[in-house]
Parts: sequence; C-alpha cells; structure tokens
Amino acid sequence: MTGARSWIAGGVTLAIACALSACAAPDYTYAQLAPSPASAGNVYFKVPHSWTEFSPEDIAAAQSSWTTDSTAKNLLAATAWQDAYDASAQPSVSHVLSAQTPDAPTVFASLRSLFEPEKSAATDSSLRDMVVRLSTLGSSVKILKDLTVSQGAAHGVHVIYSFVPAAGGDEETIDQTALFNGGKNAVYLLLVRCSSKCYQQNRDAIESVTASYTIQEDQNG
Amino acid sequence: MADDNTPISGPGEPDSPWASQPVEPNEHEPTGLPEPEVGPVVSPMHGRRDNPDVLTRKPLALWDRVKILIFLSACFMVLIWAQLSANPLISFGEAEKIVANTGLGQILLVLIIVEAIRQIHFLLSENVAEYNQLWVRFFAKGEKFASGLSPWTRFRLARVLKWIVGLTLVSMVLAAIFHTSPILAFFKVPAWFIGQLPMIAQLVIYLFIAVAQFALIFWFLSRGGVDVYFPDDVKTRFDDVWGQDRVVERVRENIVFMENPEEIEEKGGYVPGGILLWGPPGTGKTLLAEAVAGETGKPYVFVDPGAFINMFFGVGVLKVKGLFRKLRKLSLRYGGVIVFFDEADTLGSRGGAVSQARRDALMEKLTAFEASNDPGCNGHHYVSPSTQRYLAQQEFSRAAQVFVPTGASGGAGGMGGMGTLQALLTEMSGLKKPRGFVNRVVRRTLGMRPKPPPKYRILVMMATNMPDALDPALLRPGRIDRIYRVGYPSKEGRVVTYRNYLDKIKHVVTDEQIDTLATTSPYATGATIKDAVNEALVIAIRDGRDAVTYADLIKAKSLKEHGLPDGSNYVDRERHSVALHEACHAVVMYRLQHSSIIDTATIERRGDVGGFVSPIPLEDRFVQWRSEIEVNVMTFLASLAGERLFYDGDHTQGVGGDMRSATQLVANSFMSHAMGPTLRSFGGVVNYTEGMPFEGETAKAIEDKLQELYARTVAVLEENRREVLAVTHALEVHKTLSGEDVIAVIEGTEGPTVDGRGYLEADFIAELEGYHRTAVEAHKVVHERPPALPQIPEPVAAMRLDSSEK
Repeated sequence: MTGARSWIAGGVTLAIACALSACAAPDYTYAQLAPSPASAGNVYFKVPHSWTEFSPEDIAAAQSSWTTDSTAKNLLAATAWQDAYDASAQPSVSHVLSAQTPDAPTVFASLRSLFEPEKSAATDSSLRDMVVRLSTLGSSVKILKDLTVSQGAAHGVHVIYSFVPAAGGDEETIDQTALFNGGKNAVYLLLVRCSSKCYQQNRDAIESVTASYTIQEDQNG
Repeated sequence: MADDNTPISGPGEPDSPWASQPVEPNEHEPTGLPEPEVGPVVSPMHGRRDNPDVLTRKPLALWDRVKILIFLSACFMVLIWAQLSANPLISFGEAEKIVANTGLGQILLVLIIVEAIRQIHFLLSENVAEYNQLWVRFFAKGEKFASGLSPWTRFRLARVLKWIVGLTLVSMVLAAIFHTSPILAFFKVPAWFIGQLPMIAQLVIYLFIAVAQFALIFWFLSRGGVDVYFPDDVKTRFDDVWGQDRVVERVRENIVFMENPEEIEEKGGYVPGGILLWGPPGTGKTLLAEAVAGETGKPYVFVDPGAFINMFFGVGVLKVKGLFRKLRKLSLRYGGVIVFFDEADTLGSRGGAVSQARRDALMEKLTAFEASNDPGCNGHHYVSPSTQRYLAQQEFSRAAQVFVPTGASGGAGGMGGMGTLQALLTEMSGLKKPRGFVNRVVRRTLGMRPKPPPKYRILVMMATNMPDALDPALLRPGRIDRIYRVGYPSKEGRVVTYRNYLDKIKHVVTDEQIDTLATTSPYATGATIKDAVNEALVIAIRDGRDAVTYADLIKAKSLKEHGLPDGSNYVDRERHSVALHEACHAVVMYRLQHSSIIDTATIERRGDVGGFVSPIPLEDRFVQWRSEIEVNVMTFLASLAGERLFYDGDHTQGVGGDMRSATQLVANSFMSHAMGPTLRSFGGVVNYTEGMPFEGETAKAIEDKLQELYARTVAVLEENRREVLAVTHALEVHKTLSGEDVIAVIEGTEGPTVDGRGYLEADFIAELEGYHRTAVEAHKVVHERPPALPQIPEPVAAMRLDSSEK
C-alpha cells in the first residue's frame, strides 16, 4: 500500500472513529439565555445530562395558579427568562416551584427586572433575602457559605444555607446565586435546592452547576 | 491546363503522411471510438473500461476519493463550531456529542459512515481483484434493472442528486446555526458574515460590492455563446455525413487519439490539438462537427463566435478566458474535451489586407452573371468550371482596378476585435504554463517550485468558409495542427442526400432519375439539395399535386441554380435571334463537348443576361487538354458563326462576351501552355491588367487559330441546321429547357417535359425553315411585323398524350 493510500485509510478510520465516539450522550445539559431587550448579557450554566429540563410551557403551566396572587402575578410579569431542572427519578416541575423540600436536586434560574422599591434598596443583603429572608430567620438558618461575586458588570452574592421549613419536614439546603445587573435594574438568580441529606449526596453535581453559572455582561452595563 | 491554385502538398494530398491509405489493423492502431453509450470513464462503476484485462478497479483520484467525506465532515464541524461559539461552557467533546445527538448531526454521521464504507469498498476493489470481480458480477445483475437508463443519464442524475443532497445539507446546517428555516438560512449568511466583521472590514466589503457590480455586469455579458454537450445529447453520427468519407476518416482519427491518448503519448507524440475544416458553405462542416459530438465519449463544447463580438471593451477577452477555463476543467474531469468554433473567421480574423478568400468570393460572384458586361449573352456558362474560373480571374483583374474590397481599408479589423483574437491565441498556446494562485504564488512564496500543469487534452475544431481570412498565427502547428478541406460531396453522397430528402416526402422519382440528378449537380451540397427538394415540393403543391416528379426537381434545380428570370419578354424578332444564338451554343456543345452535359438552356432574361446554356461536368477534372480548350472556344464562337450563318452574314452585339472569352482562352493557351505555334510562355510575365500583347506574331497566331476554329464551328452548324432550328423553336416555345429536353429536341426523342419527336417530321422542319426565313426578312425591314411562331404538329402532341397514358 502506498503512502497516500495509508493516509487515506488512516483518515477514513479516524473519521469513522470520531463519528462513532460522538454517538454517546453529552455529560451535561447546557442552559443559555441569549441577550434580549430585557437583559444586558448572556447567562450560561450546565446541569448533569440526566437531570430533566422543563420547557417554558411546563413552567408556565405550573405557574398558572399564581395569577390569582397579585404579588406572584407581578413577579411573573417582571420575569424575562426562567429555566428549571429536576434530578428526581420522577421529575416534576412542582418539585422546583413548590415550597416543599425536594428529595432530589432541583435547579431554577431566572432573570427578572427589579420593582421600583427594590431598585432603591438594591444591596447584597436584599439579594440574600430574595428567596428566604435570611436576615429575619436568625439562628434557625445555617449559613454554609456567603460570598460576594462579580461577573463583568454584574455583582451579587453566592450564599449556601440550610433551614427547616416552617411547615415542617426535612432540613433543606439552598445554594443561591443572585446578582444585580450592571444597571441595577434586573436580577439574575440561580437556585439549587435539595434536602440537606440529598445536598450532601449530590454536592459535587450541585457545585458543578453553580460553578458553571456564568454571566457575560458588558462592563458598561 | 493545370489549375493556377494548385495546392502544395498538405493534409489529404497523396504524398502527405496523412494520405488515405488502406489501414491494416495492428497493435499500434487506435482501437476505435467507444460507443457513446458506454458512458463517462471518469467514475467507472464496475471495473476498468479503459483496460478490460485489468481485473481491479481503476484507482480514483485523491480528490474524488475524499471530497464527499470532506464536505460531510465540514458540515459536521460547522455544527460543532456553532455549538462552541454559542456557549463558552461547552468543550469540543461535549459539542461533538451534542451535535451527534441532534437529528441533523445523526444524518451527517450516517452519511459519513456510509461514504467511508464506500471508499473502503473502492480501496479494496482497486487492490483486490477477487473482491472487485465479486462486485462486478453483483452490479451486472443490477444493470438489468437500470437498463432503461443509459450510463450517461445515470451519471447526470447522480450528479444532480449529489448537488441536491449537498445543498439540502448546507441549508439544514445553516438553519441549525441561525435557528431559522433552511431556505431563509441562505439569505441570512451574508448579513451575518458582514455583521461579524470589524468596521474597517465591513467598509472594504461595501467597497468590494460597489466594484463587484461592474464585475457582475461584465460577468453577465461574458456568458452565453458556449454550450456544453455530453455524448448522449447529440444523436448525429458519422454515418449521417454523406459524401465526405475522406474528411470523416481523418476527423475520426483525431477523435480516436483523443479517446485513447496513451496510444500516441506513450510513443513520445502528442494528440493533435487543432483541426480546421474549411470549404464552401453548406458542405457539412457543422454537420461533421455535430457528428463528432455524437460519436465522441468526451464532452463537446460548441462555441458560437458571434457571441464573442465585443459590446464593451474586454468582454470578448473575458469570454475567451472563461471558455478556456471551462475547457481545462472539463478536460481534467473527463480526460479530454472537444471544442468547436463555428464560423471561425468571425473570431479568428485580424482584418487588414485583401485576403485570398475575399478574392475568391469576389471571383465566385464574377463567375456567375456579373462576369460579362456585354448585354445579351452570358458567355461564361458555356465552358467547364476551370475555364470559368480562369475567365473570372481575368475579369477580376480588370475589376480590381476599380473595386476595392472592404477589408483593404483596414477598418475595424477582425469581428471579434479588441483583443479577442489575441486572447484566443494566448489561451490556445498557453495551456502548458503553471496555473492557479496557490500553485504560482503560494508555492513560490514558500520557496517551492510551481507544479507543472496537468495534460489538458483539448481538441480545438474550427469551421470556416473563409480560411484565408483567419490569422496565420491561429493556423500554426501547435494551435491548428491539421487543415482539412470539406469540399462538395461526392456523387455517391449526393445520391444518398437526394434519396434521403426525397424519402421524407411523397415522390415518383426513380433511382435512375436520382442518379441523373446527382450527376447533374456536381456542386450541390446537403443544404442546396434539401432546398431544391423543398422547392420541388412547392412547385408540385402549386400545381395541385402532392407527389414530387422528376420534372419538378429539374425546375426547382434550375430555379435555385440560375435564379428567377425577370419575366420580361423579348419582342418577337429579338426572341428568335436570341433563341437561335443560344441554340447554336447548345448544338455545338452537345455535338462536341464530351466531358460535360447540358444542364439548362434558356432565353429568359436575368438582368443583363439575355440567355445562356450551362454545362455540367460529368467528372471533376483536374486538367484540360488542348482539344478540349478548342471545343470550348468553338462553343463560344458558335453564337457568331450561327448568327452569321442564319442571318445572311449579319450578327448581333450579343456575341461580344463570347468573342472576348474565346480570345482570352486562345491567348492564354498560346502564351501559358504552349498550345500555339510557339513554345515560349508568358505566364507570370504578362500583366493582364495592362492589356494583352496582341501584336505582331502572337496576335496573328491568335487570330489564325480563332479563324480556324470559326470555320470548324460553321461546318458543325451547317451539318446541324435542322437541330439548330429545332432547338431555336423549342426555346422560343418553352423559354427554358433542361439538358435532357435539349437532347430530346436534337435527337427527336421524348424528353422529361418536351416531346422532341415532332422535330423529326420533315414538314415541320420545312415550316421552321419558312418561319426562320420570314423572320430574317422581317429583320431586314424593321417596320415589318415578324411572322407568328409555328405550332408543333398536332399528331406528335397526341402521340405524347397517348404515351403518357400508357
């Protein structure tokens, strides 16, 4: 076999090998918020591929009952983008959106504009209180991590905390990353929830999700 | 008399290396043309068509082997790139997996694997004979199912299918990138591309677009005039070219070398790259080229040089460059290409001086009716073509003093003009230079020598009826290697042509009559025969018949060869004298000229020509004998001799042209061909335009000869007095007679349209004598009315009716 033919044979073999290797499923599902008039930047994160992603329609259907509550209704109206994942074997969007402690990690990401009163009090503390009012719960909440973070023009906090819900049940751990955008008129939120026991079991996967959370926003906002 | 235009030894001449010799097939001879139906050799499906002894598959070119894989892989990589650029978190491996899990990615992967397997199959077929033969047998079964489609059709369908699949894949890839529909995706690409560029690059792009508008205009203008045909497209074959066997044989040889270039290249030669077909219009040059297209297994590019005429400066150059780019591409892809330039003089003429072709064209005109300035009789019609040509030369020499052909003034030069011809010359001889930006610039920049170009096997064929109008640079070996004259078709060819065109219509023409037609049409071409047959059909339809007769064909032929008569009648007195004048020519011609037969005798006026008798040579002669020239002179002298004999020594001005021709013939034969009392030749010494040296001894010798021939002519006419009066009467009655009718009148037999048997009846001849006598008397007394024309005897007319009913 001549040199050229060896190259061709090698090339063909390589092409087949590459093609076959690509047949496996990816390790992660990649979430992405493309820039839009409502946002100044891109948002990226990844979740393990085995976790179930819910479509915007699924999320909207689960939130349909919220329209009766004026606060929730306003929140929905201000939300430009939201994404939800569930690691449960029986995934349900309610695991993500309900106050009940989930048995498997859930992920919720959103971008919403700030209300006028929020803009005037846009501080790191308000970001910490965005989901659970940590400042009012006192010692019933265990702060596991509390960091300020900046990504481009966006600035906020990354806080991990555990608490027992008022309604009772297992202790819940929340990994919360919240950042104001550069103009301080919108807030990026990534929330990974799970029972504390589950959190410990899935710590690596959860940390990989939060570590991947990337906001690309122009410094000029 | 040897023709003054005797060609030097060249292609087709007996001592030429290309002379037609019986060819014994041997191992060195090309094996012949493959049938067009065998399809392209570029991508053989089932083994070596070029060498059946080799059991493995013909190796594919590297590019052909990898191009589909590269294309599919590129599509896949673009999708991966789109994923990578859309999300910074994604690694290459992850992007590959993501793409592979999309529908489009899976389609691409399947196609890549299938193509890879196909190439492995080809690789094995090229190296393992047993494996290849297994598939050859397998595909042989498949051939039965696909036998309805020719290989070329399958090849083209496959090519179209590949393009459709390719474009579909590209549109799907773009749609995946731009998140839109596949069709809209194509339109998003330019905007996206410009959007990705920095400002300065965008400006450059906009500037480029502004300039590109002009380039686009020129590009559009440089389109057209070039048609590419593949073997199945044209159904004309060499068998359809009738009567040009010699040229066909030569052209076939070139095509064989083209099909199998190794035959000559292995022996150190090269495939002849250019053929010029030249000859009179309508002789089948284009048909021959079509046959080449039909017979060859290579692509055939037909060029209409008319489209190369510059509208704007440089368009012609662009067209030529574009044409040769296409030819090189086709040549590499298919192993050869044939390009045909019809009416090449349009493109290949540089203009300038008076060319021989223009002289020939002028002489041809002069040979026809304009040759004689003397009203009354067209003297040139009585003699053989070579004599006609000589006389026309004399006329041309006179005419040239006052007539300046168009080309002599220089003018715009070649019609292609403005560099088109130069571009053609450059391209035709520039096929061996290194080409391509990468090859010439990039390789040199990297310190590498440019690769020599591959062998472009381009056979250039040109056709023209004005070969001398072509630039000599175009005709030099290396550009045009072979020059073939496509002359008038042979008699066999004319017979076949007549028969084939007649078979398309309803007719009652016998094979013998077709043979006679072919014999009496020595300069007929396929086009003129087709035209004559159609004209005969028009005549038949006008007469309310649906079948064409021999008489219709004779009439049509005469009409086409001699044109429409003016339709104006002579006064009775003049009609008789003109008829007698032509009758004398006809009778002397019939009695003395044995190398030709009478085609037509007429007294119908055509412009300045009062009438004529035209001969048809029985064979295409090369030289004439002295005795034949004397007969020619006597044929000219017949008019003077006849008029004096029958008009009591008087004669008309109408003999002027005849006398001039007779004198020129005798003078030339004496002064150039030693046919007089002296041996010395004035050929090349005498300047005819300054007049003949008719003085002294020479003048006396010419006069003596003319007197001698005149006396012999008078004797002939005296012996044929009845025949002269009979033909005179027939011409007065019918105005125009075919050669066969003239013979019928002279011999007293039944002709195609005239029954001549009445002219043998003594009473009728006596009546004709009386009529002629009265006419002569009336001629002497101008105010006397000439007598009424005698009627042919009724019994003879009745006999003719009876015989036609039988």
